Amino acid sequence: MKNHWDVVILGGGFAGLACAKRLEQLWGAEAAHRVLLINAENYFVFQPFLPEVIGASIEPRHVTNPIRFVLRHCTLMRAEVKNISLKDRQVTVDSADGLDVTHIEARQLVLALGSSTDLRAVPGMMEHALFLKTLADALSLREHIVRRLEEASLESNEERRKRLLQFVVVGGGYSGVETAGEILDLLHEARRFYRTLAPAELQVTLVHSGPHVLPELGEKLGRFTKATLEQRGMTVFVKQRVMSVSHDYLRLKDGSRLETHNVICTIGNAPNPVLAGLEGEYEKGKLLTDEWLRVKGYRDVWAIGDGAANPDGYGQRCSPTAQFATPLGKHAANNLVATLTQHTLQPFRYKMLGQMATIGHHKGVCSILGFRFSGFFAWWLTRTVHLLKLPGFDRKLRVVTDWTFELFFPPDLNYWDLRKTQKMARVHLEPGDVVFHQGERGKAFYIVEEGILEATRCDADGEILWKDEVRQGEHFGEGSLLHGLVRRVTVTAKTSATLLVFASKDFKLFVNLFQSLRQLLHDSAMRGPMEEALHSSVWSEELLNCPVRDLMRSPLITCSESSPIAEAVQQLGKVLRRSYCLLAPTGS
Amino acid sequence: MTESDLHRAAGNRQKFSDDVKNVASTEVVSLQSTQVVRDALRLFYMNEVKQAPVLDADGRPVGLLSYLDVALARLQSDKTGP
Ligand SMILES: Cc1cc2nc3c(=O)[nH]c(=O)nc-3n(C[C@H](O)[C@H](O)[C@H](O)COP(=O)(O)OP(=O)(O)OC[C@H]3O[C@@H](n4cnc5c(N)ncnc54)[C@H](O)[C@@H]3O)c2cc1C
Repeated sequence: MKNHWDVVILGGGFAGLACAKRLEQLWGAEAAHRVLLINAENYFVFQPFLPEVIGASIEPRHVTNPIRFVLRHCTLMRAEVKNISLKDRQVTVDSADGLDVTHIEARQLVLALGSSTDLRAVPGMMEHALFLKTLADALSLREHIVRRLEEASLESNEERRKRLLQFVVVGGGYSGVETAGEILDLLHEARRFYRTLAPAELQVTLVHSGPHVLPELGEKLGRFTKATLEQRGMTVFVKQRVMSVSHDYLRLKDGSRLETHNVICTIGNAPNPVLAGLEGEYEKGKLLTDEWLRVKGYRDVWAIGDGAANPDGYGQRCSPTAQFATPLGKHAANNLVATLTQHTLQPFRYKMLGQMATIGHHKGVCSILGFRFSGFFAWWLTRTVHLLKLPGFDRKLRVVTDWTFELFFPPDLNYWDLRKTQKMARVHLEPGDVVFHQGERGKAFYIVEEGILEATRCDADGEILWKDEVRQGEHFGEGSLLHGLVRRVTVTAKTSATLLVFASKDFKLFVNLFQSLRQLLHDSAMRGPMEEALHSSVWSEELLNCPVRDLMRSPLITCSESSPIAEAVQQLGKVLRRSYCLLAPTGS
Repeated sequence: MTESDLHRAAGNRQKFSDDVKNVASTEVVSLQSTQVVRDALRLFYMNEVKQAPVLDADGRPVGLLSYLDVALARLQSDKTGP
C-alpha cells in the first residue's frame, strides 16, 4: 500500500465515516487512490443500539456494519493509530499488533478518533466496573448479566445472592438510562426461566450525580423518566455520586454502601489517548478547532466528533453525539475539498433537531424542536429514527427482524464465556475487604500493586496464631495453587489496595513453563509453613538458638574423591549410618 | 555422599569399582558452624534435605548435622528439662 495520500481519515466512527462517504460523493471512483481511512476495526459500530444488545433485543452483529460495505471506493486500512504529527501530517500505524509499523503521510489529515473512558478518579471503577463503549463491552455486559443469573440460581447464601442480583448503573445520561432500562427488561423477561429467584431479589439501581436524569432533555422529562423507572421497580438516586468501587460493593457520596458484584459505568468520557499531547490547542482535553473545523493553527488538519471541541456556529460547542458527528464529518469533507481546489471554506453551523431516548418497556422520551413528549410514541419514534440512521439496508432489515422476533420470543439467554482469554485482572479493595478466607480452596494468585494487606492464621478456636503484612510488590496465594491445598491464611486489606489477580489455570500454565519462577514461588510458598513449624511448640527457643556446632556429628568420616564406591559403602556400613560419608572436596 | 546417591548409582548400573566422585552429589547445601538450629531447620525445610555438612570459617567441613540430631536433642531436653 502506498504511503502518500491526498486525504487520510483517522477513525471510522460516525464522524470519520460521514467524511469518507461525502468524499466518495464528490470524487466517485477517484476516492480509491485519494482517500485512506484507518480504523482499529474493520467494522462500524452503531453505538446508539448498544444498550439494545445488552437487553438482547438486537443481535450483536446487527449493530455493526463492515466498513468495506459502507464505503464503495475509499481504501480502508484496519490498523491502530499510534502516533500523529500535526506539523508534517504524518501518522504512525501498527497493523499487526506491534510487528509491523507503517508511516503514512497526508496532504489533508482528518482526526475522527472519538473518545475513550477514564475513571481513575473513582478508586476501583476501572478495575471492577463494566463499560459500554465498544461492541465487546456490550457483549460482555450481556454475558455478565446472564452469568450472574446462573450463579445466583445456585447460591444459597442470601447475602451473596443479593450481591449477585443487584445491578448498579452509574450515570443518568442517555446511555445510562437506556442501559438501566434494558437491563430491567432483560431481568423481567428472564425471570421466568430462573424459578428459584424471587422477583424482589432482582434489583436495578441507577446512580446519577445531577438533580435529574437525562439532563439534555430538561427537568420535566427527567422527572417523568425517573418516575417511570421507579414505577417499574428500579431504584433511582439523583444528586448522588459513586466514591469508590470494590469487588463486593460500592460506596456513595453520603457514605452509604450498595452491596453488589455488578457495576455498570456509563460516565467518564475522556479524550482519546492518541489525540493527547499534540501540538495543538486543547479545551477540556479535546482538540480545539476553528469554525471551519480545522485544528487551530493548522491549514490542513481537521478534527471532528467526540474527540474534538467543535464550535456549533451558535456560540456553543457541539455535544458529543452521533447527531453532531455525522454533519461534522460531511462538513469537514466539503471544506477539505475546498482547500485542495482553493475554493472558499464554509463555517460549520448546526442546530440539534431534537433528542430522544428509550427507557425500557416500550417507553421513550423525546424533545424535538422544543416539543417534549414521552410514552409509547416517543419510544417508537426513537427506535425508528435510529433505524433510519443505521447504515446499510441489510442491517436495517436484520434489526427489524430482531425486533419482530423479540415481540414473540423470549430473549436469548445463551451464556458464552467470552472472558476465557482474559489472563489477568485487577481488583481494588477497601480497608477490611477480604481477599480469601483460611480453609477456602485456592482459585488465584495475587501480586500487590498498591496498599498493604494482612495475612492471619487462626487455630480451630479462632485464636490468632500469627499475622504478617503483605506490601506493594509482594505476592501471595501461590501455596495452595502449587500444592493443591486449601488456604492457610485469611488475607484482608489493611489500607485501600489494588491487586493483580492471576486465575489458577493461567497461573499454572505460566509457572509450569517458567521453571525458575516456579522454583522461586515454590520457595516462597514453603516459607509460610516453615516459619509456622519453627514457631510451633515442638522446638524450644533454647534449642532453636543452640549453635549447630554443639549438635553436629564430628569428626567426619571422609574418603577421597577417587576411592571406589565400594570403600564408601564399607565406611558407611562400619558406623551403620545411612549417609554420613562426606566427600572432602580437596581429598584432604 | 548419601545413601540416595548409592541408590541412584545402582539404578544407573554403575559398578562398585567406579570412583566415588562419579556418584556423589555435587550441589550440596551447607551450614556454617556459627549458625544456630533455627537456621539449620530453615535450610532443611527450604531445600527438602534431611542433613547438611557443617563448614568452619575457612570453608572446611567439620561435621554433619541431620534433622534426626535436632529431634534427638529435643528428646534429650525433655528428659533433662523441668
Ligand atoms: C451506549 C451509547 C449510546 C449512545 N446513544 C446515542 C444516541 O442515542 N444518539 C446520539 O446522537 N449519540 C449517541 N451516542 C454517542 C455517539 O455514539 C457518539 O457521539 C459518536 O459515536 C461519536 O462519533 P465519533 O466518530 O466522534 O467517534 P466514534 O463513533 O467513537 O468513532 C471513533 C472511531 O475511531 C476508532 N479509533 C479510536 N482510536 C483509534 C486508534 N488509535 N486507531 C485506530 N482507530 C481508532 C474507533 O475504533 C472508532 O471506530 C451514544 C454513545 C454510546 C456509547
